[in-house]
Amino acid sequence: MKNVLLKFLILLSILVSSVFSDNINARKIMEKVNSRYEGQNQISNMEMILINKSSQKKVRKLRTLKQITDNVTKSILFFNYPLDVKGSGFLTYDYSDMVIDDEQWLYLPALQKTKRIVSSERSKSFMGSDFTYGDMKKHEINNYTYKILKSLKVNGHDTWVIEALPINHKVIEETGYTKSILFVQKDIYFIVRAVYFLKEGKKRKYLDIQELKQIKNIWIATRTTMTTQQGRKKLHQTILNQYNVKFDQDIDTSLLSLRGLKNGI
Amino acid sequence: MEFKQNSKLFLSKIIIVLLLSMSVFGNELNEILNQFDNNQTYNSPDKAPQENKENDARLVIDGEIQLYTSYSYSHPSNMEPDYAKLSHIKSRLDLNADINFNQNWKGKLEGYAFYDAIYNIKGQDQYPQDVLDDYEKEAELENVYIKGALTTNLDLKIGRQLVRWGKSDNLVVTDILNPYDLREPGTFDLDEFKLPVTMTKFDYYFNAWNLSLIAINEVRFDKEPPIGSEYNPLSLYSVPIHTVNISDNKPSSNLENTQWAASVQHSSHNFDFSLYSADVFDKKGTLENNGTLQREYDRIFMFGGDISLVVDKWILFAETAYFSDMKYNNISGSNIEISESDRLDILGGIEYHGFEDVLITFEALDRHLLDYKQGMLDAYFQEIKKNQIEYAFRLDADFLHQTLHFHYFTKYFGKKGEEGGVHRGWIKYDVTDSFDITLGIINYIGGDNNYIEAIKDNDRVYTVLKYRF
Repeated sequence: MKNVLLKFLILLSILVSSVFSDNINARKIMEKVNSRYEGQNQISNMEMILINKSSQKKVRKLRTLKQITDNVTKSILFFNYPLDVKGSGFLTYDYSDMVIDDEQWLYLPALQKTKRIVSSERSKSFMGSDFTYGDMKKHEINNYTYKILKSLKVNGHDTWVIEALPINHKVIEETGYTKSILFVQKDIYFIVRAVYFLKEGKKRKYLDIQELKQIKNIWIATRTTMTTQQGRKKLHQTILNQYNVKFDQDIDTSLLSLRGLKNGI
Repeated sequence: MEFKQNSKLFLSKIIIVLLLSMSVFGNELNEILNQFDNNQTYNSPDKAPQENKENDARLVIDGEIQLYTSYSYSHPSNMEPDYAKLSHIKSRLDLNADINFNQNWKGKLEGYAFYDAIYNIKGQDQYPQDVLDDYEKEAELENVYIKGALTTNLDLKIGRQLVRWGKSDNLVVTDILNPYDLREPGTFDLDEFKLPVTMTKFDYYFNAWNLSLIAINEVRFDKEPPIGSEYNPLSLYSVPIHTVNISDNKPSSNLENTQWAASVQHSSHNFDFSLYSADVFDKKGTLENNGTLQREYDRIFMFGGDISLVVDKWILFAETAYFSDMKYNNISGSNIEISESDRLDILGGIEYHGFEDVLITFEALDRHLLDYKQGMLDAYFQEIKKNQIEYAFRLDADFLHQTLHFHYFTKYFGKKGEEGGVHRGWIKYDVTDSFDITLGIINYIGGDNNYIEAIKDNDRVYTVLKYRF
């Protein structure tokens, strides 16, 4: 009996310690992912191709400018295409302190009107695409527990496959995801693939980075797909291309203001 | 012995459960990974855009062609002029040129032309000439301006432009610098009716403050429906007004008639406020009898402000304006007299942003005449009340990844809506990036307000086909 109990305890302790150490490692990995340098500012063009289940495509082209400081990430984006929204702009102040509400303004060029709007919640669709506003932001480390599931090669690169579970129901409500599986490329600490489990409709979203570039020593995804599926059925897909990307430019920070929103970048 | 065997059995069960769960999870993970392979073939991704100089284009020209048709289903038939059944077949061309002179200076040149074939089809002879002049065809320049930075804090914008004041999107309080096209009231959004005016506008920015000084160089008035049109029917008047000779003495655009405006706007975290003042012409004018009837336009002074506050998923806003020395006609016996009154407009509104891709807005407004006299008349010579109350409700919703857009708007006049109002609902579907179709319905509700009662038969369904290039 003693032998059986001893064997059981050893097995249990191995399992527990393995899981626990994986959790610690997984969190450390995610901390490194989050602390990866992304530049103090970034200017780029963005093209989103929205594809519905009938393979009909809609294209959105944007010009974006982003400035990252310790307290706030300010970003401004203007539509270049389609023509019915050309010149429309969004100015967003995304505060690091979760207690402070983000702020957002909209510019409508036909009316030459600037309008404050309630900042879009993280779970809401970004411009009608498969990305949410939360997908466009950094992962909030403290909102999740992490576990390494396995190691795997993706496009010839070693990755950790990490499960991220929200710590409480509030995080699920905010992000819209009950679970995420993240594929972190080991050599550069970059999420190259992800699966997001939506809280509604038993849907999943598949993020796939198809092109990575290093510009000024900063890694950036220049071609990404996000596909929404229900089981094996594809519901909608967005291809996000980024080009003309420039980091750490000598930019006039006053552009990231209501003045910039009115005048364009 | 038996206990030992049970323990072994228990341990074996735990291991089997663990192995099974790992196997099940492994299968789930594999299934997930397989989906990525499928994704690659789901839609072969388009070629990524090449690095290019599209941001440096000096001149960009674009435009749109649209066909607007409407069917008036409430208008009495067999009447002249005929506004019943098919009431508009209007084709319109809009052209726009954006010019980037350099990093700091930009320009815009915008114009349109339209032709409504319905008058030709139904017979032009039955329509008053003013109606044909205003509704059959038109070509105009709209926004034509140059803007840029004079210094790091000071911007200049000069030319025909729109200036947007106030927080309300549906009712007018402080937004008085641009005139409106009121020829088809209720048929489109208020903002779409705004007419650009030539201005010289200086904007000074410091921290979260914006100070604007504006010289309005062009005197431009609202476009009103001519007498005898759908929206200004003869039935509105107790006298055959189309036979009365009234000369319209609109002031011309010259240095002496320059109008002035200034604003201070401040934006802080989740809170904005603004102050406005303007010395402008009163666009409604008054009738004066100097042997002949003349419509004269005087200047008024407006001082106002607005405030907005974000509370969770709500935006609360308020807007107010004080107008001094406004002139009104009023009937005294058989005479037309002029009386003056200051007016205070107060608006409160609320927006709800809590649903994805949905915006719900409600606004209420009271225009209060401080020196009210019985018999005061509005621009259509209809008696007005001491408190003119308006309500507006609006719902905007996007569906199918922002491809299908649904809108509903209603506006009512009077404390309990007893003066009448309008409902409008429309759906816009983006067939492609360049082509969209709109289907809409407008329903006017008659009431105590003579004007709304007179135009209530203009209920219609309409379609707009729009192609952009």
